[in-house]
Amino acid sequence: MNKKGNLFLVALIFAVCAGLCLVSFWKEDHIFSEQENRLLAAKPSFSVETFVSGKYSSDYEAYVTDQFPGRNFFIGVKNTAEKWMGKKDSNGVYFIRGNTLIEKHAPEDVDEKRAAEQLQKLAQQAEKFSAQGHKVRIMLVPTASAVQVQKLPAFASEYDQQGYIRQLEERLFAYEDITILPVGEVLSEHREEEIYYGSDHHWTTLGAFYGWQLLSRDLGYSVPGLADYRQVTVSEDFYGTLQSKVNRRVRYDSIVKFVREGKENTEVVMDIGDGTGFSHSLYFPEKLNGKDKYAYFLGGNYGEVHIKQSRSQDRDLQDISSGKMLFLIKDSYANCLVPFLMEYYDSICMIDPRYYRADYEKLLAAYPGADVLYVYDVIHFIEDYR
Amino acid sequence: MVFSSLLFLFRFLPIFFGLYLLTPKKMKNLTLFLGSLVFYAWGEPVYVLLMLFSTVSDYFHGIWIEKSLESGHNGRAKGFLISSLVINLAMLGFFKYADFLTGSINGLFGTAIPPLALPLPIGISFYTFQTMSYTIDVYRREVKAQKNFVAFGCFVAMFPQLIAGPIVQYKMIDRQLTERKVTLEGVTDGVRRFCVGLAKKVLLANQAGLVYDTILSWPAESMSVAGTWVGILFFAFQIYFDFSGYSDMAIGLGKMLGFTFPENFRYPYMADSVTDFWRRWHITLGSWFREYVYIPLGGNRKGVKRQVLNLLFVWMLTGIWHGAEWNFLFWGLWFGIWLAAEKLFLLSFLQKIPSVFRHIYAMLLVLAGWAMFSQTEADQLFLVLKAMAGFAQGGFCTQEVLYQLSSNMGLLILLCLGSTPLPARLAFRVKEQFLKESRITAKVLETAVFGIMFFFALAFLVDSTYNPFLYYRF
Repeated sequence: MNKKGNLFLVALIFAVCAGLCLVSFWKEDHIFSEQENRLLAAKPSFSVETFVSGKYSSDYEAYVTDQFPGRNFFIGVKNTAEKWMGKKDSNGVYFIRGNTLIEKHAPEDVDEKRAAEQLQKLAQQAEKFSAQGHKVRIMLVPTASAVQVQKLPAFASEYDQQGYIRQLEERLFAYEDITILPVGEVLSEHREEEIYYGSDHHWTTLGAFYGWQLLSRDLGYSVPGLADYRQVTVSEDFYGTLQSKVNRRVRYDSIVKFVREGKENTEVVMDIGDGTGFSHSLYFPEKLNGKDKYAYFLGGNYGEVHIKQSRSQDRDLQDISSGKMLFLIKDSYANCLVPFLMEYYDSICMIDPRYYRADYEKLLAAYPGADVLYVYDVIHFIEDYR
Repeated sequence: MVFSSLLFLFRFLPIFFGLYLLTPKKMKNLTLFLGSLVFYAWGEPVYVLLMLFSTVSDYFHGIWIEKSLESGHNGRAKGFLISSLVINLAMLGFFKYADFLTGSINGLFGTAIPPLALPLPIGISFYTFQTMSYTIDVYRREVKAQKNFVAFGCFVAMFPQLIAGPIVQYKMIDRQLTERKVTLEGVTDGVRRFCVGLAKKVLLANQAGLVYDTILSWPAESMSVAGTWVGILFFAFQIYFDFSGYSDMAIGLGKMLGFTFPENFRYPYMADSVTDFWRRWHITLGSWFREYVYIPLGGNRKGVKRQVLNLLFVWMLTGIWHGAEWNFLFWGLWFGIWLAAEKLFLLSFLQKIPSVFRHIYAMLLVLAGWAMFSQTEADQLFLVLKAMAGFAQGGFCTQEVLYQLSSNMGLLILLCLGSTPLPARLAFRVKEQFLKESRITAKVLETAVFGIMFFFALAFLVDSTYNPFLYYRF
């Protein structure tokens, strides 16, 4: 190359190295990353033992990387560069035309053995509940990658979530009091609509509405149509979990609330079992100011929640004497479905087994005759159902 | 510490280099030596003593050998040389090969010698080879013994090439240890080279590695013929850009400090025979074995039979140098056999066929070699080789393979282009063109190009620990 030096180049590289070094010494450390929803590595304290064992070095290295100035910016740059290069996915998320995202669930990402065990466990529990006189309904919702297949990149191979639901159907076929709601098929019919968020792994309120239609038919309740609801957009700048994973700009999602015409003023009382408190609404507008805007529905996930129509005279939420009751075993997919459920049920006892530490089967014993409903997305069911 | 880490780039490098520039010329070696010890001790707080022991041992051995030679005691000089070699090889053997040996003995004779399970000291294969070259060359009177301990310490411990080469023979940098200059030109060259190496490692090798890891992690029933070839192809790119990127960074850092290290790679995937490949791949290791093993064994001067034996022996050593596993031995032997065949008759045949076919021939053998190199488990290696030969449970090709190919097509094109001299030639042409017009424009443009490369490498480095935990914290 040319014989002369290039002072610009040398100055640039060393200024960047020395500059960022100084900045990272000066800058205050972040404790928590909202984007990643995890605690960042903190500066390790030095001791001879930790140094000799090599722990100090590796902890310090993690600390430098986690606290690097402009960390989120650089991560966005990386993912954008990958997209330019034609990569179809990054960090387990597909880039979809229209600048949206769908979470990837390749067959090798799903532990087949665990999937089979979970299915068995659910079937046995449903049989048990049914034998105790409960009507059991199971709503396993496939995630976007198993429904909006038309959006996936060419050759993408996905875990067969619909097939998994069929396995469950076959397993429980013989039980009259156990219904597997074919929500996957219904969602597939509506796959061109916005039934999933483009930046988050949940289904939208519209998706949940189709689930509700299906359920209401099974309940013998008059099946509502879309026209029965007024759709209120409560947020237009929702960035969910998938956006966090790729950390680049995508299309913002809107969060929509469905209000049943004529039932605007129905009141509920919600009691979060761990003593966190009461609420008179199923919606939490203050959550729309934070990062996790999906928590607008029910305020997030809790181990045990009791919900009751406030038109009931009895204010004791644990009271089980009257009305139609539901025992709901769920993950966060249920959160935007629950407002629909409250059109039919007088009270709901809602258990998220991920956070409920005791044995919820014992709790159910206190609700004789209650309907039991499982609402999970297939992937989290396989990972989290207990 | 590796060069491609934020810790090195934004802690060690600016601090060390600042100190190095501030140090007066006569003391620069001391700064370099101490800095290198810090660099090494960061990753090997205990084994740094082993490296120091090796340094002290060969420092004295060099002096003793020279003294004995000067006073005419050639036998004693030979004794010191042997002592130096035994110490180095014993260290290497104990830390690198002991468990391999006991494991193989246990396997063969059903014994149950417990393994030592010691972690391999970083860079031991490199620095023992470097110090051996020193004592051998002193004995051969090719170099003077280094009396200055700090200068000798620099040669052994110098951080740029300490961990992954190039393998610098003492005679190559003998003078530079005491008479070298830090110039803007040298630092510029070094920065350029370092940026190229960093980009090769972070932007190409790591990404190729992810594809390889994905494809080879599939279970046997979804392994396909095309998939295995594609997977091994990505492995080939990963190992090339990883290793040559690291060498580039080492050479670049050397230049910044005023050293000129030997080149280690010359577009190995442009080779048109196995012989040619080994002239382009890990050149400093090849030269080391040629100079200190192959030629002393008689090389090609003792008849064809002996030459073939020498080749096989040297390439078995080359193989096992890469790791204490059988697959590395076979990998070396595989090349030894083809090299011998080429020496005997294949090369003269190859010269008669069109260069495209020569190239394909060489690459097929090299890829088969990488298959052996990449699989340390015997049954997995067998499956991979079987698949490459056309027998795979997943058939010829699967949807997953097509997905990986389509998703990584851009990367694959970059990898292919990066393996040829085209990008460097193009850059050179463009720069010449701009230089004719305006020197400043050319320099600004160059700065922009390298700056962007560095910027993207940085983004990928920061991302390496990006791990969103998206569900609730307990």
